[in-house]
Amino acid sequence: MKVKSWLRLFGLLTAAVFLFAGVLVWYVDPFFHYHAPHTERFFYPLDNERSMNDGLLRNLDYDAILTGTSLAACFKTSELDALFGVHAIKIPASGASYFEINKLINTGLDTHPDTKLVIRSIDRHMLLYGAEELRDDLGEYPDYLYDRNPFNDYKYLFNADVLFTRCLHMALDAARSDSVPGMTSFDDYSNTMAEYRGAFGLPNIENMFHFDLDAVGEPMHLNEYDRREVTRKIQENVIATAEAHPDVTFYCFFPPISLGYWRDRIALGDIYAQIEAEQLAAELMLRCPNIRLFDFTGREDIISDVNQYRDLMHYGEWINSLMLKWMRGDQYRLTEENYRDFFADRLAYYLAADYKALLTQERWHCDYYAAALLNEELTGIPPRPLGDDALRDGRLSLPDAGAYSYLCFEARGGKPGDTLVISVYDENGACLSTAEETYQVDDWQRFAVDLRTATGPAEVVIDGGEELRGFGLY
Amino acid sequence: MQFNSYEFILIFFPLLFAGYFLLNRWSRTLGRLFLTGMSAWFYLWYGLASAPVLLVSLAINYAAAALIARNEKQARLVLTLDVAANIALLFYYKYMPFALANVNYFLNTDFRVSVVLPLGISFFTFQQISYVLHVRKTGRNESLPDYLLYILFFPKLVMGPLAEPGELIPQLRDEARARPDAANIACGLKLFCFGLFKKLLLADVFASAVNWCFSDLASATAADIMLTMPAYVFELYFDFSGYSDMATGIAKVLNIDLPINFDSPFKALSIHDFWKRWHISLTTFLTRNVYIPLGGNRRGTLRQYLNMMTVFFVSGVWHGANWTYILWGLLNGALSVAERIVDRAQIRVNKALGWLGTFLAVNVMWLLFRSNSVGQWLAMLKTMLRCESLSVSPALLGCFEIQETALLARLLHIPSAGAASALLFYAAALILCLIPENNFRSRDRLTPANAVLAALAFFFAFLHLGGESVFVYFNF
Repeated sequence: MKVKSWLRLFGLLTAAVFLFAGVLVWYVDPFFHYHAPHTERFFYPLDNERSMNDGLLRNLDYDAILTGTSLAACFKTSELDALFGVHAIKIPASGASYFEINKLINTGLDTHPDTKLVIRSIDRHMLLYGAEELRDDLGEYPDYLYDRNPFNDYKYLFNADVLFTRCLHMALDAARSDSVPGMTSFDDYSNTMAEYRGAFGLPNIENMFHFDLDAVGEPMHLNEYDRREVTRKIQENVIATAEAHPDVTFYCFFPPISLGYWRDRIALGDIYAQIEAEQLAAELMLRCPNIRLFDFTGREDIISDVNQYRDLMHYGEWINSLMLKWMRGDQYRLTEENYRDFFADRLAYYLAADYKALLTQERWHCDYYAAALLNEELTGIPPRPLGDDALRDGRLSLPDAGAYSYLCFEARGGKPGDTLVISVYDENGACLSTAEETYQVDDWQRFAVDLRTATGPAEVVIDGGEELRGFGLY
Repeated sequence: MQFNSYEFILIFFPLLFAGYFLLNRWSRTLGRLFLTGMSAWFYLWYGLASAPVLLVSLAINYAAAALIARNEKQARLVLTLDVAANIALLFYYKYMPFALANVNYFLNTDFRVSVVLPLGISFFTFQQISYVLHVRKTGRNESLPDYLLYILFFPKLVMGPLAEPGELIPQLRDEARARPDAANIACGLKLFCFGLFKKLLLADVFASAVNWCFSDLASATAADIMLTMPAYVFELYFDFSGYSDMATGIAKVLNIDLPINFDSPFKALSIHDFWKRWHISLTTFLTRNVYIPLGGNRRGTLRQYLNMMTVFFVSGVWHGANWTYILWGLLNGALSVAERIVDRAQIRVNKALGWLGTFLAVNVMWLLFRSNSVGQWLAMLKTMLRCESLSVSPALLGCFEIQETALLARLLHIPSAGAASALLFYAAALILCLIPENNFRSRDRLTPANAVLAALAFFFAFLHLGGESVFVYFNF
């Protein structure tokens, strides 16, 4: 073969395959870098925060932003929309620094000037120890997806993961006759409840303590350097953005992490510095008229209940739902008048708390039982006991299921490892959900059935329990 | 800088190609200075940490070469001192921590030293030795720019192939090679594309399987280790020969012919044959500069065997500071000597048996090369020989499931993509190693089929550039 013909063939073919890949990735655009998703044609899974968040912020329609770390990941935009009358987008950034989250917020506000509301978590543990800018331990930060420089887009357009694992699979899915195009809902985006199913309560919390429960460290207070750093962090990454957008209301909140978290702080001795840092951050934020600041750690019934947590920090999604409601109702809001007393009260409470009692709490085994007990506060609907013999032939008719969120009961009869299959059907016999629960003790065990998918009458079928009792709607 | 990087493919090489040939039109000297400067940029891409050692090495060796060329009477002494200085430099950076660890172990002392291994020190030090020997032989020192370009010429600077000054310097000076040549560009591009593919789609996949096994050896089954052993052999081969293909291809585009480094080593029928095909430029260097000066085969049979053992011992030591490398070198030497004895006794070995025995021996010895300690290697061999569990861990199979094979498995409705992918990779590796003529030998052959294959190889490899991938021999 002649050399020039070889070079021509090689060049043309190389150009052709690169062109094909580039056009395909540009068109499908699984990270929303170029345009809004073609949800009429493909299904877009939301499963990669760092790669997708910037594109979502730039190319979707919304007028409210719900963002924060993993402590904000279980929020549901549907609840936010209903409570605040907005059309929100959720931008979770697990483990992200204040800087990274603020960068995302600025992208949203710059591209969507009509944004009315921003809700963001202020992770208290990052005030003193958090990363300064972008955390590189979370993986390489895909700059090429965040800048507008077309000359580095080759990393996105010609990328094996993007082309083979996303675009071509999405195209193959779309070609199936039973395909349902769309996108993961923002309620589900990064919602980790399913991933951590069964992880709530003891013994997970017990394993999280790093120090002896009696250990008390040398008291450490905020020094001048710390004060400067906390001030800079909050000023640059929270207040500056709020001041630049005076028409936007910023709902900032210190998440209600577990009481157990403070045990390690006492052991290290830096609990004083931590509370002082929080107070300083609050003081700075409260000066900004469009920031509404909340701290929910005053809910001692929640933070001292290990069944609400899967580790020392992460609470169940029902706490996120409650936080939205509390923020809407201005509950647990910090003001210039109350914040000093609040933090003094918190410090006294943490120092006097009985941490050993955390380890003797009863474990509820079923994650959502904790949610059911708090549901009246969320919905305003009191629980309705159904009695011990509400079950007929393994079935339970619930004409008013749509008004409640959970069906709770106790069961006995299985040995640890045996399963209980619970299915929920609507009035037309369509299956709304099926869950397989596991017996973990050889005794009465609580179970909670999620009824949130039921909008009207429902029938619950329970397969697997020998003795069941204590039915109730929550 | 690495060949398998966006920076190299999209910026460095296009800039070098255009700059080198444009400047050559104006002035050959300028073109070569540009090539030297770009080579230094290539070497220092990751920082200046390695620069002082390289500069010291350049200064000492060029000064020594000047003395050797100028003063015939002292040439031998200067040469000896210079070679000793090179070995001392290499020893200090590569073996000092290892030597002190052994001293501390045996003498119960606590000597410590902290050194950062300069990139490519083993390779450029051997190139320096080649250069001073060349000056001693020819009696003529090259100009400083020629010397610098010979040492720094980036395609072979950090991982070889080791090139003889007598072969490379005349090419770098040759006026006839100053203009782009379409045939060389085509052949070079083809070699580069195939090398890039070998590195990113074969070596790196085998590497992930090997790393998985070594990261959790306690739970690895006998079958896992049986699969890991050839996986490491394939990793090393595709990694190093892929690099050599790329280096040779890049040099070819610049109208420079680098020597062959791999000549289908897994077609070898004996260990001796294997070493004529594997890392040929190193074998050639050691033969020329260790084996022959020691007397080669001219001083009797026993002395020849001792010389062979010495060469392999030096090769083992050169590879790294660990008893595993030394034992690996000695085992290779012992097998080579054993083969020579069998040859001398005129015992004929069946070709198939010879191939199988060689392949197995190479596998076992490369497993030692990869092991962290001799004890770890022995433990792995024991696990294999005991054959207690012949089930393959799903995580190991999962290492072979790359984006392309997962898609292929879906299209072909194959349920266990990991096992199918593993089978595909091992089969492809064996076929590539055993059947076609290797890339170097077939480098000048241009056909429509290899144009298509080269384009596709480049495309698939480019798609994998985003991942983290470092060449194994960067550590040597």
